[in-house]
Amino acid sequence: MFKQILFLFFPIYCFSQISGTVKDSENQPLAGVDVLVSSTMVLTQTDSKGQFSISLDIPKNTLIFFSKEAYASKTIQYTSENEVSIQLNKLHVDIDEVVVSSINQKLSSNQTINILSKKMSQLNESSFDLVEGLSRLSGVEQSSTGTGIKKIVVRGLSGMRVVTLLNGVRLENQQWGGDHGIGFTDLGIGKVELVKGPASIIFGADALGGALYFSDENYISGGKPRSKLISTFESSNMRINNQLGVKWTRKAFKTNTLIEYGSAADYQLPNGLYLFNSRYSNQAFKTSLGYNTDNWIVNLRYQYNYGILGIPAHSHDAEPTLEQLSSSSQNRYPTRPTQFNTQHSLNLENTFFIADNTLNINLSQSTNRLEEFEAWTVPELDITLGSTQLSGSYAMPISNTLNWTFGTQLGQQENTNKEARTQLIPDGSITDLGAYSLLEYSKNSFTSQLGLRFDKREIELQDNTFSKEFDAFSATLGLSKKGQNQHIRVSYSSAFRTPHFSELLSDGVHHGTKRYEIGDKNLIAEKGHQFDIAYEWTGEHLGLIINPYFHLINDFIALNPKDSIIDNTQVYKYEQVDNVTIKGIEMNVHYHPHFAHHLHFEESLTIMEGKEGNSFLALMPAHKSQTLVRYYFDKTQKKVQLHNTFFEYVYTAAQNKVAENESPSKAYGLFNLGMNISIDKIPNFELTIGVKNVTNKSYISHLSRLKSYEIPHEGRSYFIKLCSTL
Amino acid sequence: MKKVSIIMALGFFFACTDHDECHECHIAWENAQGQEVEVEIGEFCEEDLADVESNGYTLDESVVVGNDTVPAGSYPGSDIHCEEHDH
Repeated sequence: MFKQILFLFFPIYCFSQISGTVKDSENQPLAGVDVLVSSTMVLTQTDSKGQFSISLDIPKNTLIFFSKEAYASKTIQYTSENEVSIQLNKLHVDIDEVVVSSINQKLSSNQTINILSKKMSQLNESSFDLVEGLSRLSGVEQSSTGTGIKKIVVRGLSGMRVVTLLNGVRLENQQWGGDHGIGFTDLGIGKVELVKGPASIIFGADALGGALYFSDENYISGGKPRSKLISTFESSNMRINNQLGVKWTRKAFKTNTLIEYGSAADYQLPNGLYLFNSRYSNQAFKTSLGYNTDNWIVNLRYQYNYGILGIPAHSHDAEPTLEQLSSSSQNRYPTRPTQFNTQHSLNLENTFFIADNTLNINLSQSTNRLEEFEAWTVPELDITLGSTQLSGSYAMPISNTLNWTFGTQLGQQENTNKEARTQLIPDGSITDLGAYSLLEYSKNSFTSQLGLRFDKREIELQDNTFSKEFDAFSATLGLSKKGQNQHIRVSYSSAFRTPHFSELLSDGVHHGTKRYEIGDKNLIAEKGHQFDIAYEWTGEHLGLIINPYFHLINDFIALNPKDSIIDNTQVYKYEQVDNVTIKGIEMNVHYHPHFAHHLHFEESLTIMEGKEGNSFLALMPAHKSQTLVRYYFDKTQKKVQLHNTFFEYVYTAAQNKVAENESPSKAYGLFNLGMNISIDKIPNFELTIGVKNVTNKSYISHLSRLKSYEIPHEGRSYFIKLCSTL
Repeated sequence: MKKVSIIMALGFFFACTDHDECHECHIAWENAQGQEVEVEIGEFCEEDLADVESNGYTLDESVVVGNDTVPAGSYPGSDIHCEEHDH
């Protein structure tokens, strides 16, 4: 009955099932090709005959994506064929993998805005930490407090300036604190897309520095339930991490369920001692249930994350030494001070297909509780942030060359303090309302996009002692032109960020950062304007991307140290500065020599500089280059098959362009090694082993929050990863 | 696969098993030079630990620590530190 009622409103337009064959350029069948139906997130693979079959209904105009490592991926738009034949050509150089963007269901190569897309499996090859993996992307860095608390820094901006989305829903997890990490792990995440720079048009207020868009792993297409077990171990902090997942699809119902437990002890410094209280543990659970009818796709997702994170470098001495802050023994039992971070999120995603138009409606609810304990039984801080969001968008073609998308977003956040020694920010609420319109013109190899957005935000304290409204327009204009070997994207985008509760109303000790923070009620919104040019050239054996950018931020809000002490803690004040400029260039090169077909050479370079008037901006990442050399082995009949081995060298330059009262950082270079192996007797089993920081180099990142204590990062660390799929 | 699941479940269970909540505590008193002076007040467990951290501790007599004399009196919970300092 329900289905029938729905059909009255949403008539059926050509839905069917699909099967087909994938072959290479020599007409040989290709096995193990991923076949992804983008709208339903259903993934299957071709068999040994290169054949595949998807028995689920596929909405018309859905993009079907065929990909296999070392082959150029191909995408078709499904119309009504039941049988397709696909040819994939060998790929020598993969400089910018073409994928279907989860952000707007378009091919990444057709975007006018610069969206960087990576599979989590690629990022996690030699690091099993979400943020560390992301910091391999050019223009991305990590700001860390030991190994347990890490934040993502995009082109020098982080915290509230970088919006994080999971399956289209904004994650509100108290990113305002310098010591508040990302709050979730890579459990069940299949892909991450990164928009560098202002992205308010699609994601709303706050996306001034960029947006990270995580998408869950795909569903399976049918057949028996499939399970996956991933276990990892790292020697530096004796970290163990286990993830177990089960995927099952039956008719129109699809489900993925995963659990995770991880635990890390204090990490070992290059001098052999252990950084006391750098220990942490995490638990996670996530489940998703998908269902689709002829013209309706729905996903219900729930995710739980719980982290117990030690805060290292805690001392009551004014200038503690490294010896005082480290230990000769390694422990993983929680001590003090510690953060407890609990996150629940539930979201319901709906996509309706109405003729050639698409309607998306998403509803989500999340709560994030952050407790900071210095004592054992009484919290210093206990804040719960509840968030409810409703968003809708409608995409429609106006003509063969013109598409229009418009949408709206509503959001409500409630900040509530529980009994604790300190109330750093008061109870209050944030109400958001935004509406946007995007026009996209595409003809032959030329694409242009014009977007306009209006946002209104109201911040109100529960006791009615403070209330403030902000509103702003944002715009984007992008042009893209593709040639046979070349692709150029030019874009302008603007964004705004309203001050957070903490920036407006803080007045107290933030124990996690050891700062007495004072807000300013008169702060106004930051406005960002970014110009970005990306040029890509791809030859048969060489590919390169050059991406210069310039970002101007008006009314930048800075947290400045002051020459005063309250409650034995140094005072920091949130203050507005006029103009901040961040400029830089990012480059990527992929070289695959003709004479050595097993060898791949990848190089990325990030150069950037931030200025506030004539002074340098604090906490700007140093210039960085990453070199990755990978060798692929031929397939053999041996019992133990070595797939590939890789060598990585990451060089970070000295950072001498520092703000007043900020100390410079030294240059350092790190070597990492690893290899991937499978064992003949254990099918569907993969093993990755390797070493990070091979030379046991003692180094301190410019963005480490432990830099002022001269505490280095981890020394040499051996790692092992086991992945079994059944 | 079943064996792996059982082993993981056991691993989860033991990893989550908690220790006894007993800790050595001290009064953290600041002298005229702004340096912290510690007066050990003993080990506190469970409810007693919660009580001393919430309501503080009364020092009946002044205590001499090195060149400093920590005066007798009531010290609030925020002056009672029970975290591990010696490692």
